[in-house]
Amino acid sequence: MKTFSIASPTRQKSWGLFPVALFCIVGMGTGLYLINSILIVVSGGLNNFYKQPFQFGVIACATIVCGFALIVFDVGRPRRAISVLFGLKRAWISREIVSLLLFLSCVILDHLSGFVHWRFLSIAAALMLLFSQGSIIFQCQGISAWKNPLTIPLFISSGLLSGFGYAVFLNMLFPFFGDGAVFFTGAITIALNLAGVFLFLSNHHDAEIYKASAVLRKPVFVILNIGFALLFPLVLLFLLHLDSAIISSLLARNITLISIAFTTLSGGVILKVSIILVAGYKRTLYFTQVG
Amino acid sequence: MNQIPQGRRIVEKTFKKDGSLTRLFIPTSCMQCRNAPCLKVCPTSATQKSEDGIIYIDHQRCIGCHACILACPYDARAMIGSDALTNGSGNDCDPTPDTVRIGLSTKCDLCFKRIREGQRKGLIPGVHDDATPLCICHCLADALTIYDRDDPDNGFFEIIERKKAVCIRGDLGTEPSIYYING
Repeated sequence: MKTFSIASPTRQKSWGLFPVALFCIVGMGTGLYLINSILIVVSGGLNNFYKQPFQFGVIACATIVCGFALIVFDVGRPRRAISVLFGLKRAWISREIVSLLLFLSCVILDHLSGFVHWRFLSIAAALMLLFSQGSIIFQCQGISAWKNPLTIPLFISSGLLSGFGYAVFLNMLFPFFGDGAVFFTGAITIALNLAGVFLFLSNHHDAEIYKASAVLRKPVFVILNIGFALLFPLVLLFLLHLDSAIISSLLARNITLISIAFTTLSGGVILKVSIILVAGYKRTLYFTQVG
Repeated sequence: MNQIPQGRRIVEKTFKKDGSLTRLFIPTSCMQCRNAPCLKVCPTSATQKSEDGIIYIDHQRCIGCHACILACPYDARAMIGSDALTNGSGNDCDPTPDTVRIGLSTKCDLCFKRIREGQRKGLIPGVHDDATPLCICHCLADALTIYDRDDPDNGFFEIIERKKAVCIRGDLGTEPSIYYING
C-alpha cells in the first residue's frame, strides 16, 4: 500500500548518445541481415535461399561491429570487456555479446563454406542479438516504461524496420530484389511495427508503466513514430506496388524508394530513441507497508 | 549535502503537518535487496552478494556499463565521476581514492569490508563499533541501526510489527532490507 511519496521520476542520464547509437546501429545491421534473408525467400522461394548477395552480409556485419565499437567511448573500463562473458548465466549484456560472436562467426563460415546450415544458424544468432537488445532494456527495473512486456518484441520489430530501410538503400546500389519482394517484405515489417507500437502504447495492465509511456502518446511522437515512420512509407510502398501514375518516371520511382528507405530506417531509430531517452524515466519512490 | 559520497543519497522532504512545516530527511541509499535487480544485470559479476546478504561491488571487475544503475529502482547507484572525492569515499573503508575508480559504479555497501574485518575479530555488527557501518556509528541523532534478520532473538521482527515499519517500493518484488520506522 502506497503511503508517502519520496521522490518523483527523473529522466535517466546513464545511457546517452553512445549506448543509444549502439542499440540503433546494431539493430539496423541485424535487421538488414534478417530482412535480406526474407527478401531472398520472397523473391525466389526457398530454393533461392543459398544465393545471398555477398555485399549484404558483409555490410550487415560491418554495421554491427561499428555499432559495438561506439560503446568503447561510453564504458568506464573498455579494456576489461572480455569479462562480460562471466555474466552469461544472468545478464543479457553477456548474452548479447555471445550472440554477436556467434553471428559474426556463422556469417563468415557461411560465406567461406557455402553450407546453408550456417545461414540458418546466423539467422538464429541475429534474432538472438535483437532479442538480447530488447531484453537488456526490459531487464532494467529502474525505468518504468522499459518494463513494458512489449519492449522486447518492439525492439525486434524496430530493428527489422531499420534493416528494411537499409536494405532498400542497398538494393538501389546493388539491384538484387524486385519491387514485389520489397513491397511484400516492407508491408509486413511496417504492419508488425504498427501492431507493436499500438500495443506498447495502449498496454495499461500496469498503471505505472502506462503512465511512464504517456510521453510517447503526445501528438508529436505519435506523428513521428506512426505517421512519419510507418504510415507514410506504407503509402509510398502501395504507390510503388500499384505502379501508380504519380511515380511513373524513373526519377520519381527513385525518389519514392529513397523516401521509403529514409523514413523506415530513421523510423526504427526514432522508436528506440523515444523509448530509451524520451520515455526513460526512473521510478517514483514511495513508502509501502511491510508485509 | 555535506559532501555525501556518490551513490549515497538523502532525500529532503518538506511538508505541512498540523499547520506547521516539517522537514524530513530520508536516507535512500542501497536497499540491500534480497532479490536485487542490479545483481541480475551485471555482465561481469562485479556486483556480488555476500553470505550476509550485503550487495557489494568488486571494482576490479566492474567495466562501468551503467546497467546496474538503470536496473536499480531506488536510484541508489551512481557512476564515480570526475568530481569524485580524492581521499577515499569512506563508504567501505577502502583507502583507494575514488579518483582511480572514475567511470565505475558505486553504491552503499554497508561498509562491507569493515563488517567483514570486524567479524573476523569476533565482533558483532550493530553491537561493536568496529564491525558496524560508519554511518550508524556516526549518526548524531542515533537514527540508524542494524539487525541480523536471521537471528530470531534480537527482536527485529517484533520492532517491525510494533512500530509499523515501512519500506520503499516493497511492491516491486525486490524485497528491500532497509526499513523505516517512525519514532
